[in-house]
Amino acid sequence: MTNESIHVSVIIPTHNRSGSILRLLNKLGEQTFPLSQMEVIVVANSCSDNTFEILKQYKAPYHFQYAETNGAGPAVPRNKGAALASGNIFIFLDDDVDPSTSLVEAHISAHSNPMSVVMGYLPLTMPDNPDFFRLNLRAWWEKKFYQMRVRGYRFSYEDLLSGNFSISSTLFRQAQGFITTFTCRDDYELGMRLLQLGAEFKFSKDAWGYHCDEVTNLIRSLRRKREEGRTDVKLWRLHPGIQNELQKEYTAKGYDFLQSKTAFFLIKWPMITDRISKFLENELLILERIKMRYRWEKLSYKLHTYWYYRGLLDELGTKENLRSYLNHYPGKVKSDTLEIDLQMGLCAAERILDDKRTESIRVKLNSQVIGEIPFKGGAEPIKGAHLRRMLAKELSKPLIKALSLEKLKEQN
Amino acid sequence: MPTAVLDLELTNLPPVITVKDHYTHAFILMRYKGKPVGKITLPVTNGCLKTEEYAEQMLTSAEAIVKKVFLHDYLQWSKTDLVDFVPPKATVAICTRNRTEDLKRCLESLMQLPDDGQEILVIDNAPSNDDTKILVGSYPTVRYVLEPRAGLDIARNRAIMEARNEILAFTDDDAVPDAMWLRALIKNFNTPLVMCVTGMTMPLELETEAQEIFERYSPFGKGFKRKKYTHNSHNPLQTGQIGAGANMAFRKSVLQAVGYFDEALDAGTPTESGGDHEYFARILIKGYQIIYEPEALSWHRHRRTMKETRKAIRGYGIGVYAFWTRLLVKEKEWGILKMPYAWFIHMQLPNLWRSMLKRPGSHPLHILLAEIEGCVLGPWKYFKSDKEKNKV
Repeated sequence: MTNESIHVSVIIPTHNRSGSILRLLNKLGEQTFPLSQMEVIVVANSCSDNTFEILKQYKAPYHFQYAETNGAGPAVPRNKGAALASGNIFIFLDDDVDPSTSLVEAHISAHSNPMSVVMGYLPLTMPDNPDFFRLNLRAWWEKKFYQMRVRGYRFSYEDLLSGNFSISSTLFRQAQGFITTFTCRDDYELGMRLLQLGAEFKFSKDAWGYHCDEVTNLIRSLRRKREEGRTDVKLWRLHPGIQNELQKEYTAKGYDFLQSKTAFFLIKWPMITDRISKFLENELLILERIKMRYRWEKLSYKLHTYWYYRGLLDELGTKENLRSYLNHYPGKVKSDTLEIDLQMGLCAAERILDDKRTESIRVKLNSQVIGEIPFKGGAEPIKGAHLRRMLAKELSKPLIKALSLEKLKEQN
Repeated sequence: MPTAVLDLELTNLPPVITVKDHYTHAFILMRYKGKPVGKITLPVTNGCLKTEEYAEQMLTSAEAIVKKVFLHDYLQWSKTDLVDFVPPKATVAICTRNRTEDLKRCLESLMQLPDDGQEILVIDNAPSNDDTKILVGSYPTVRYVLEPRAGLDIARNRAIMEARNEILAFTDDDAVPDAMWLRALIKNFNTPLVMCVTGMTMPLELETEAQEIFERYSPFGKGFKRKKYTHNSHNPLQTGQIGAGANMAFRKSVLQAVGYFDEALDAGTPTESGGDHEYFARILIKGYQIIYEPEALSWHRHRRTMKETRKAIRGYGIGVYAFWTRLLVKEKEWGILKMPYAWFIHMQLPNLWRSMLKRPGSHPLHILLAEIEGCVLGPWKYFKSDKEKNKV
């Protein structure tokens, strides 16, 4: 095998999971894609188990490389893997993925142009008796995948899911890889930059593998929320345009939170509020045991909100800074934004949008303004395929009114 | 007061509709561009209904849904449209017992479904004669399966085992599914989390007072809006408004996900009903979704006599308490304990009060009392039924 024949590089960062990495390597040997055109690169990051030994001894039916890094998160090993790779297309997989045999082939066939970024499907495996958290986790993942399949979906930076995605080597290099100063959400940050470079996000249900995530649980998720809070501030500093879009489920009511007693104590005596919130984690366990779903959901949401704000404050320091961070501004429409008159027909309007690819539009019907689709931070530019869904979701009421009026005019 | 049941298309409304002379009212299912958008009951004079007089009233009552259909039709877009959706194939199962006449009407309607490669299965549940077998024999595309053990949930479990396709849609033998019924159910199975889809059921006829009382008190139709039920947006123990066994579909993999129907529940056992609603609850508890799809329309012939109707309502009372008992005892769902109180205080008691005061639109007292009687008997009937099941 020569490097020239390699078409695709599968890049896998791993950290102390020798069992699952072995399963993944074996499954990659059963791919329907020609193995001679495929290489697999495993980068063991700060491993203290026998992962490196296993990699050394592994006899692979495909071109196989391994390396070692000492990074804080998976960004360093991912970039390292990409630096070693010689394929035209990179497929990034997490070490807890159990891939279907057609995963590689499906990724490759979904790459229609060099700007394509293909997200694969990762159904979460479930234990026999999943807890409430696990059920919510599965629902969260499935919702994310489902959205990407809806006709007319407008992709955003949050759709770059690094556990199973593929990208052309040129685009990855052009973007200069993952950011290494983030401890989480480095994939979202890459998504942001890729969309700015004009990448075309896609979803492929056929590029699927099981997501055998056995470590994420409620407590980890709460701790991670703090980390996400910190990272979101960094993300905002790098890309101020996405402030509106960062974890809306917690920040939408940010001012209410600032007025609350929790916020008062959190800012003054965080050690005490941390204690209380950890104590309340036990209450969650009790609520789960007696199957009080509604109360559990509410408390779980509150605790996640708490830790998210805790993270924001870690990074922002003061209440004033937090207030300015939460200062949501309405999306702006420039006065010279593209105007679309639906009188020309939906297909013609779609063609214009495909041609122009703008950030915001003003929609008219027979010269009457129906409404505006404002700028949305971190989202791909508007294209023709988005039009019908945006009209149905964001401008349905004024559009119905305008269409009815038009009909009445016709009748008269 | 007999009521004519009509199915009308709003875009093509005949100015005058004539019905048989004995009807005093007309129950109208309104469609807009073929999709059900609303229902309305209007008076009929001398067998004649002038729709022009009521056009505005009809449109207003269905306005919200008409607007939505109108917009989606203009946009040629729908919320459930996916770029990569391939509709799975379905098996239609009818669990029946000694009701050949009804079954024939049901099978005739199923023959009108567009051919999407569906399989039709008749589960003949402990029949006392050969009539069903002979009837099914005259339909070459329908498969006949004999299930000798009596019980609706036993027959349903048999259907799950016999079905050859990925989706299994249940219809009752006394129902008449609309031609687009199956397609409307199937299009909702578009994510692995959707484990069940229920449809909207309208009355096939309202010839007797008993049928009208039933339709008013316990309608199978649950509105004209599509709804999504999940474990965290809806109390999974409250499944009455999700749908009913006469019009529901599952993925076959529901068996691995939540297990079999409980054979101690539903028709043919002391509990008389509740098998469907208990199953819905288990699906939600396990974190799967149920979609209510009003476009999946079916027509159900309600029981004609008052005696049968009272018995059915009493049976529903038993069924609800029986399935709550099961969820409490077997699934350790402690939340059940507050349900009887909430139902009684917010629904049953006000209904009783209105009925005793003979308020307009109130339900007959004997029907309400029959339901409460059923509720009281429910837990005991469940234990009895469960014991009998275990003996077998």
